[in-house]
Amino acid sequence: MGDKIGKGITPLTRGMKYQQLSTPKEYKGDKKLKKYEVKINGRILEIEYDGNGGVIIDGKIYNTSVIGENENIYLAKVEVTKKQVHRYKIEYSDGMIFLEGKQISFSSQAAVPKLKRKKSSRAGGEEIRAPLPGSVISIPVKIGDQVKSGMVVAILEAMKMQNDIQCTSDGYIKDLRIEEGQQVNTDQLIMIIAPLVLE
Amino acid sequence: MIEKLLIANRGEIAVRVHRAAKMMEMETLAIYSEQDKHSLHARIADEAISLGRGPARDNYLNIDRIIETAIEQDVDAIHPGYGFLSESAEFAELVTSNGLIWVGPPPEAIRKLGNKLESRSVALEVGVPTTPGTDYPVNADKEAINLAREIGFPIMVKAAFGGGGMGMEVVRDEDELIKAIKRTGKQAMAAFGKSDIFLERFVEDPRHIEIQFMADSVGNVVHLGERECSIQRRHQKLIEEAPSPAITDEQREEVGEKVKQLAKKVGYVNAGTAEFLYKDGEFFFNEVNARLQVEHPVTEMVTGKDLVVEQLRIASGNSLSWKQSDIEIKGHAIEMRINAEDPINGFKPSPGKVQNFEAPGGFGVRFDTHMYDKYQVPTDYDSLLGKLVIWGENRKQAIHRAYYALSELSINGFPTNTAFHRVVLANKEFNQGKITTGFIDNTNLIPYIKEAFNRRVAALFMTGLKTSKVILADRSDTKWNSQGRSENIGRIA
Repeated sequence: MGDKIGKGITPLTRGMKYQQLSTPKEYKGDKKLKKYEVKINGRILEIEYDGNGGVIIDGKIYNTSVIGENENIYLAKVEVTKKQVHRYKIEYSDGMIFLEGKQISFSSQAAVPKLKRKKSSRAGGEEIRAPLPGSVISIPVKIGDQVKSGMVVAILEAMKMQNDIQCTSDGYIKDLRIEEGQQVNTDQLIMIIAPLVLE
Repeated sequence: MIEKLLIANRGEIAVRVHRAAKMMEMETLAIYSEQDKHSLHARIADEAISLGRGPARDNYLNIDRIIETAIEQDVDAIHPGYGFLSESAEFAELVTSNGLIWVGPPPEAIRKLGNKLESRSVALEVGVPTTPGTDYPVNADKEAINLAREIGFPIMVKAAFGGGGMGMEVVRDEDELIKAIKRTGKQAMAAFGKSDIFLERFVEDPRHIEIQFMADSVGNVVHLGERECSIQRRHQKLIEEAPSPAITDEQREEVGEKVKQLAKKVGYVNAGTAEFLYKDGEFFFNEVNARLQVEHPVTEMVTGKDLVVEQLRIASGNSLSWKQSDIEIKGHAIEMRINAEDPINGFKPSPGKVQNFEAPGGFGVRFDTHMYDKYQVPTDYDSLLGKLVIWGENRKQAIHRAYYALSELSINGFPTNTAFHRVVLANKEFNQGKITTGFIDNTNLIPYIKEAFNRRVAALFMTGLKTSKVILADRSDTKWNSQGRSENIGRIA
């Protein structure tokens, strides 16, 4: 029997079922994976591809294939588990991409080392940058302070909301580039955390 | 008579008020900050005046500038929308003392209701069900502990002049009480300039239910039923509906009548909302919002009454257009606030440029927004982009219609919380009407949003691979057509 596989917008009753279904499997294969950087509607994420339909996102595998095409319209199948299969209609038209009838920005490219990546590791120090434009309303640290990974080092107010900015490495505050109350743009440098030198 | 109306607000509500004003053949004057130069509200108004670049206190909250502008531009009335100056008694007073019409309640009523202790005592007086608590400010002393014992723990320590979730603390036992009173008092002093504190029983995991009312200046008041706004995150409402799935017709009548008494008692005029917490059949009065609310459209949809038009009519000196018997609740309405927030990234603000935007359509579908194609969402204001409001013959139909309408809503360019709404609508408890203000915290919805997102990424990625020249998969199963091919070059580099 199995579930009826839809190929359009998920109807409510099917959507309700999904909330009781299992999540996809962790990827456990040993194939060499190729990394890609994907941009979708303002989000950037890194995914991996096993060369054989397996798309790995967040360590979980989605088995995909293109099961139908009609000129510039494609039907993609995404298998989460044997029982849970989804189909998506994707249309390329006049330079635009439509997913389930809605226009979407999507691009992907093979991830190369020069890709912008946060310079950080627990030991290596890091640059703290503004994740979005706003005003830095609080900097609870000063130059020379020691910090631990996960500590809130700045609070950014944007869109009437306060966002904690945490550091992801241990170290000390080497340099502060912003004062409390100052406006910042996306990616603007707020502070530099340098690793503690171990003897 | 209002011939020219100044709309002292921005965003979707400024657009909403403008629409009502145009319907009533008024001229509109918009004010805007330079950050909002390209905002829809400034564009569609008959005239728009810039109040310069800067924080809200220099423009949308700048009482003197706005009054000055109103006089210079020879307007008759000011509509404050919600937020900003809508509940400023000082502003309302200046508007009227300068011979202008204030589209809102009289300053004295705003003042009375703005003090939580005072509004509470008026509520008690007219028999509006209130939360057990103290009717006067308490000090951090032994007496407070005795009072708390009488009320019963857990206790909510509340600032009389607080608001928006600020100046409130839940205390679960006696030992914490004194510290909490001191702390909340300090916070309230810093934030609101007044440190009066009172105690109330803390109602755990309640529903949020509010009653809309409308009053004219000759003493007529009607209530327009309730709205349920339990789906909220950190005191920010996300989904509102009318009527509440928990309230009976009898309860609506009973509480509605009490709220009307309250409105009369404080000399209320124009639109207002009495907020309650609700649990196990009991209402607990919270506060009156002396203004139009974000979620007013759900009431409009089920009553068929245009609240903003009525606001303008009443402000123009007319008496209420409706008697209580004219107000009938028909069907069910749901509003979903569409925000520039990313639910799979901790609801972080996600402003950006609208690459393209399409609103859903069809019977019973309404989308109030200030968005348009290529609109750059400014980061200076809240993240509300629009409100999808759905009507259905009953709750079930409204949910189904809303679920589909959300799939039609296309905002391309940055993440929004649209997927979050779809997951809530498809939730079993939500469908059964089993909701409380703890719903979002108690229901683990984010994984489903993330899953649905990942699946789509996988589908787009795979189709991209298959149709691109770069990854040469099995050429034989890819039928190129020239158009598709040329379009796809460069998408995967």
